[in-house]
Amino acid sequence: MIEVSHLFHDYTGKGQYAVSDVSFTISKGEIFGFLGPNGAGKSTVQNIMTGLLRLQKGEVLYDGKSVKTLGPEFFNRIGVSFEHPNVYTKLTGFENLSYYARLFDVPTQDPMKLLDMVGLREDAHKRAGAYSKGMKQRLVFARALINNPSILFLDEPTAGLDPATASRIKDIIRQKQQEGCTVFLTTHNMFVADELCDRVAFLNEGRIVAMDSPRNLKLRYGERSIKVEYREGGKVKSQLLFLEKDSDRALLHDIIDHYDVQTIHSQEATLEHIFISLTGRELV
Amino acid sequence: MMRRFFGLFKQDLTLALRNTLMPVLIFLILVMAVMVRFVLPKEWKPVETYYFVDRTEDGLYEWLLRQSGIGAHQFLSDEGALRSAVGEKGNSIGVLFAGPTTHPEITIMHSERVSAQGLNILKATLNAIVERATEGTQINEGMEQPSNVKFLRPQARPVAPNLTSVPGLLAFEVLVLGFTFVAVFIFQERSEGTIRAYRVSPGGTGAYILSKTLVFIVLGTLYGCGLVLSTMGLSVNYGVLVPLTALGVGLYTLIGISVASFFKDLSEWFLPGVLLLMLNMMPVVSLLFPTFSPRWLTYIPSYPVTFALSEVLFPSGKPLLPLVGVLGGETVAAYVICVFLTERNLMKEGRS
Ligand SMILES: Nc1ncnc2c1ncn2[C@@H]1O[C@H](COP(=O)(O)OP(=O)(O)OP(=O)(O)O)[C@@H](O)[C@H]1O
Ligand SMILES: [Mg+2]
Repeated sequence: MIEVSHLFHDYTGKGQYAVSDVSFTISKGEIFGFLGPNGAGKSTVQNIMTGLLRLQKGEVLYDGKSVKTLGPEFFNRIGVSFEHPNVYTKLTGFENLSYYARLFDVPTQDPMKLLDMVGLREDAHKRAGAYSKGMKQRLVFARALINNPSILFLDEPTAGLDPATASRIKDIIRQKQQEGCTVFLTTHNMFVADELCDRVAFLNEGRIVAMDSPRNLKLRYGERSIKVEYREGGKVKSQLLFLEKDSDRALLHDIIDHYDVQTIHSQEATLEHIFISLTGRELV
Repeated sequence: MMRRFFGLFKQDLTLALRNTLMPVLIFLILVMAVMVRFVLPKEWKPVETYYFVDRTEDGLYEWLLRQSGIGAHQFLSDEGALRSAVGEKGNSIGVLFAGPTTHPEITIMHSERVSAQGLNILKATLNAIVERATEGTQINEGMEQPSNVKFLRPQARPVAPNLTSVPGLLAFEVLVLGFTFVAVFIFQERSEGTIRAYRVSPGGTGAYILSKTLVFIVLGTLYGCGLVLSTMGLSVNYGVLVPLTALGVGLYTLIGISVASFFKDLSEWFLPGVLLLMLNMMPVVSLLFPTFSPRWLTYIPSYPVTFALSEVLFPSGKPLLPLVGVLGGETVAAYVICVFLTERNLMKEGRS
């Protein structure tokens, strides 16, 4: 279990907080999404959680132990993929993975297998400097998996990837979850968050403005409803039904069974709509 | 633990060998070797002219020398004229006789380094002349040289002139490799961001530093020994040279990492870095021009490196152990400082 409580971070030293009073918990095996526009503070939170940034104020606990006291045994357990692909450009993709693997004290994956998984087998022996941005990104993602981590930190893992490749990455993330991995995922892509995450937190200007499962968020903030148009006695009638209400569901069945239904419009809200309605700004 | 260290070492070695600076360094070492072997003179220039001044009471020595066929233009009137004549003419020697005829005080002055062989011949010759003048009375009574012959310059070491540059070049190589190359290396990792990936792995600061240090020790020692081998051959005590070069490169790699940790990139580092490099080159200057040896020079870490290397290549009987002791102490201190600074500036920075 990961507990983050009252996290603040000030890069400037002048009391301008990039992250303010951020608290959340992630349970084991959960995919937790961090959603927010550019500059919201997502990467800052991830970097504090991985120990890259000094913890200034607040606390980050892993199974009760503070991130400040964590040593090699922690780093053996986590996998981190970065927002900006950071690989040795003078080394090949394969070398990048195999050298990184040797840093760990725990059993590691076969680099070739991982490269294959992210679609880089063909380019395994090319220098990473010659990779495209998307290829480097996949290499960084593969590197995060090398030590069979039980906690994965993924900063924008699908940004800039074509849809087919992105869906491949998403499949791998789901598969990791099935293997028991806890995932902290940062993105400003609604659909990725909606598809993958068990819970998401909306981050805006360094603060969490809403946090729940995508479904509950939609339930709470979005008007998830169905608008049915049907013919009754020569007239077209319209009815708005909330599917979470038992009475409305019964009514819907009744309408379908007894009337001539013309159209059914799902009014389901997207996370994006909710974010806009909560913050007044768009995600991208 | 060992697996991690050697993995890291292999990676750093691969990166160093693939670095664009590598061909530059190989070229540099070749230039040095070619210069020493083929460009610099291998022999001291033979003495072309001797000048004499006889200030003894009866001018007996001048008369004797004239008798032995020395031209009139080689005799000067006083010490000042002698000095300026020797000073003007590159490879000349001036001899001044003064004092009583029976116990003349002989001063030899020379402007360039003259081979020891040449000086020995001169001494023997002067000895013979004095002997003749005093009718067989031996002044130096069995001693190898007349006790009253003074040299205005220390006796030149019997080293071929092209080889005198080797310790300086070697020290230069140690500095450039350790100090500069490691900085280039660190900035490469910083700009690629790979250091952040390292920071979320279990590899710690110690392994990070030591693996780089070992890479540069290996490269620097190979380079250094290559340079010495190609110029001085097997006449050198490699059993001492190898560990000493390794220690020097190690020390300068640690200093190089420490200094580089304060800067964001190579361009920020450049001016202060080059200035520091030049400061550390000062002991090499002192080695080439021994008259330049202010006291503060001895506090620069490259001082013991430079002079220990010189002592190994051209043993003069000075004790090596104190220099090596200072060097070892400095290396340990540099490691401790390096760990602290790397931890503070590279491993835990707020920005990136
Ligand atoms: N190294 C830094 N120094 C100073 N300010 C920084 C630094 N890194 C981030 N910030 C500031 O902190 C705020 C949060 O940045 P952060 O990178 O965490 O945002 P983000 O949500 O990850 O954005 P993006 O979607 O663009 O990745 C921004 O206002 C940014 O300008
Ligand atoms: Mg970010």
